[in-house]
Amino acid sequence: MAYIPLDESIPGIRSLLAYFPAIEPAMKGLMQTMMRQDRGLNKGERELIAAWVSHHNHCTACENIHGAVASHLLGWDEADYAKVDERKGRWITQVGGAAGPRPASDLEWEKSDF
Amino acid sequence: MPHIPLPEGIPGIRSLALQYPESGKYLYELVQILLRHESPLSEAERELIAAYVSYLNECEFCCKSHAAASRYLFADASGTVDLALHDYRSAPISDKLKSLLSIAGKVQADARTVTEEDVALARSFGAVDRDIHDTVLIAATFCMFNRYVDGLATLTPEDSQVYAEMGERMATKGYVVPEQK
Repeated sequence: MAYIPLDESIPGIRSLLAYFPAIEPAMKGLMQTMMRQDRGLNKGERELIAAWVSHHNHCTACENIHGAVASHLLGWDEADYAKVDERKGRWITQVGGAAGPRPASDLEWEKSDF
Repeated sequence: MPHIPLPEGIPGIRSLALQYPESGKYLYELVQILLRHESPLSEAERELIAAYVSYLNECEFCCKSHAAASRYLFADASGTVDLALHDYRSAPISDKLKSLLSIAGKVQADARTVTEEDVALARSFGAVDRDIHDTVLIAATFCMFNRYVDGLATLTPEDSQVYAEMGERMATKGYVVPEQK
């Protein structure tokens, strides 16, 4: 049960935006700017970073949603997705390590490493 | 020295908003609503929550600037801010604000540790839904700001006078996204 009266038919962050709509334009604008551009990091990599941070914050709902979106955008199939959990650490090292962001073609190549 | 090229001599979040105006615009909009929109919490109290969370995150720039804004807004009671940052439990603030700072501290450390008892205690001191909501939102958002500012090693001024002027500007003009001169 939520600590404040939220609409229980709406999940997670969306229920909070519905409770406090004043924040909605800024929050959605920020998310859109951060997550839906391909300059530098592509959309799939951005979602993977979001899922990875959510994992460290033990926020299962955010991790699952952003992990699923990342998986979709990175072109993973179900078998890849099943391995996300155990391989995630290595993945993020490869994707965002010292060499910095890589082109999508590299990602495709790394995907075959699964 | 910042980890990425940022406008020289510009501190903290301002340097990031100048270099990356697309996201800067929304970040300033966000903080303006959090700290200046109508709320059962006063602007001074909300700045104190922001400063307290930044203090716990050891984000010197955010802590000093928001503490300065809070001092300006508390006016005659400006000493309250430093007493609260040092030990809010013994500071001359309401029990309601103490219980909300306790919740803010838990959000900073691990938001999952906020309990029904914490919320019930705040309510017993008169906190309403919006007090609790705004406290958690401010605490969570400032964790983001703190990490954004420190993760890129932005400039942190050392001169306390710089923060006093910053605090006055934040208190009187609100959060206006900086523009390249």
